[in-house]
Amino acid sequence: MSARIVICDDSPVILKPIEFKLKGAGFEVFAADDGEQGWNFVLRYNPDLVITDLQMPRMDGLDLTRRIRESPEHCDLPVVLLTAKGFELDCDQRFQPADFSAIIRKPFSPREVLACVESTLAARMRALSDTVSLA
Amino acid sequence: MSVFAPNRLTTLTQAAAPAAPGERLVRAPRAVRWTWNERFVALAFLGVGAATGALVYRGLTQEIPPLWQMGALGGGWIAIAAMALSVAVSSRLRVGRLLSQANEALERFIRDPHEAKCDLLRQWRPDEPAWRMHFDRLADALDASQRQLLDGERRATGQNVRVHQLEEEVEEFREFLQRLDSPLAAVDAYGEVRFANDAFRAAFLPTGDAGHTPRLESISSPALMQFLAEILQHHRVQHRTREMLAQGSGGAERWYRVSCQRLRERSPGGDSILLVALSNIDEQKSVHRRNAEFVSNVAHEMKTPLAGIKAYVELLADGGLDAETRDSFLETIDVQTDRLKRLIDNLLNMARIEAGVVHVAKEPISLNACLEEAARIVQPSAAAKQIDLKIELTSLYVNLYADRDLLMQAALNLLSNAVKYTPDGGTVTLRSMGAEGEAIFEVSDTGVGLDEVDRVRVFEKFYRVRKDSHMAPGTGLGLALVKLIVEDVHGGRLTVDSELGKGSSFRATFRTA
Repeated sequence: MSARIVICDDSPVILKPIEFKLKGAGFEVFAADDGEQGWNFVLRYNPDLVITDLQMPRMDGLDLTRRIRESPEHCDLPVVLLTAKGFELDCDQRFQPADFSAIIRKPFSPREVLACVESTLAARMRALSDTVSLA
Repeated sequence: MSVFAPNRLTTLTQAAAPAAPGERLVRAPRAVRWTWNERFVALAFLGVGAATGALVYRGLTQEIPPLWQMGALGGGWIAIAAMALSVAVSSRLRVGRLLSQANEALERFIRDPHEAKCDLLRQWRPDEPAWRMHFDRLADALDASQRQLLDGERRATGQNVRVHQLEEEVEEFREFLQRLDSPLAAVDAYGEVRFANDAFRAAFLPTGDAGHTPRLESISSPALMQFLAEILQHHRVQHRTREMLAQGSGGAERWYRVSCQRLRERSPGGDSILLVALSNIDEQKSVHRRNAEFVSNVAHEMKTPLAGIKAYVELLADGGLDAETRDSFLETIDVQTDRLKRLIDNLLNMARIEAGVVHVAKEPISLNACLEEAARIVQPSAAAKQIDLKIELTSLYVNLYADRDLLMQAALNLLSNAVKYTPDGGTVTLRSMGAEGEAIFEVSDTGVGLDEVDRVRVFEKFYRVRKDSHMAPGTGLGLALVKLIVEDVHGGRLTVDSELGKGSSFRATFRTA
């Protein structure tokens, strides 16, 4: 079964190429255009990874990540942050770098996103198999 | 000590000081006690003595009756004595008169040195050259003393006036420093605040402490106190400036540029005064912050289309796409490139208008003609969303004195904004009206509408109505630019009337008379 990925971005021009690239690589992709829809997708599809934009209407990337970290079922779900923000990010007190598996700055390369997704998923697989073997 | 010789006032007054009332200040000099009359008397004595000797010699050698001899001798002596007495008395009287005149002049001088007439001495001077010389010297000495006295008094008066002026200037300067808006203080090497103007006291010192010399430690801002303490410790630091967020005695923090200057190094490595001048830079800081926010917003707005372009270019380069997908990717790249271009154009136009460098060519134009052209340009994008673009222009000819290109840009921005924020199948209406002395155009839509907060902030640069930002990729500058064009360039008024969920209506009003 292929890995499931939820992507959240309010801009279709960002969402579409990532969706296209990841689908092409064989992932199952769910594209949400804001954080609220992204959270619903997380609950509904139980994904292996979330890629989220920072600034979105209704629920932004930081709120979505906080909600994921606070939920008992999804607290260890890897989140990749995709942002056009630079220094302003460091000024946001809600921003905790440890919450994110990776941060990709816009403008990004779809290849870079794919490589990041693959390495994050591989690390997650290793962590999961370690947990299983320990158990 | 002779009173004639010295010509210094002090010596003169010293000489005069011991004199008791009535005592003569001037005595006849030893050298002139023998006047010519007295010398004549002395010669007469010699002559009579010689005659007496001859008479005695003749009496011893020839027979002259002794009674005759005695009578002649006695009569001679009596005559000589009477002559000598009269000469001496007249001489002493004259000397006495001269001396009393000299004394009178001196006493007058001592009583009132300013008014004394020293020339009296010259008018009454005696014939004898020795006396004349001494009287002249006395007159000269008194003259010189009087001159010196008056000069000294004049100088002293001048200096007093100058000292008074300086005192007034110092007081004025102190008052000026005291009332200066910028906080100012002087701190000595022992950490005592020797001077603090009103602004400094109000900002950083505890109230009700006016009587005491405050200490460095009583400054309310720890950052400022530490900065000053550091400079006080480093004797070699002459001048230092720092920008800091300093806490006032009220607790509020404000940005200051603190400039310290060491003054009056009295001894090497020793005492000195540190002059501290603060200027509030809250305004500059907020300008910097706004600039940084603006740049950050511009960068953010540019990165989204740029990210799209880069992503699609890479996907195209990867190859393996069917013709339809490739075309749609290319179209997206085209749209995003236009979006970038629009953003840059808007930015530049706005910067030009704000800086006042845009060339405004105002001329009488027809408002309707301008609006019709703008509507023609927007028509295709309205049609693409099945939006009904209604044009309801006044039948009157509305003449407007305006810059055609800028007015057109304003109408275009309002129309394309309306099309963007109106869901498919909605209606956008463009109206024009000519009222008394006013020309109005209005763009209404049946779009998403604005809430109260959005209505106030919708004209801010980069303000995006959050809940709908996914709906319409814009530059965040369109409405801000319209406001600049309508209000700043044409002196008109741009207002918005909107109801959430029902639509918005933007109205630009211009004066025509």
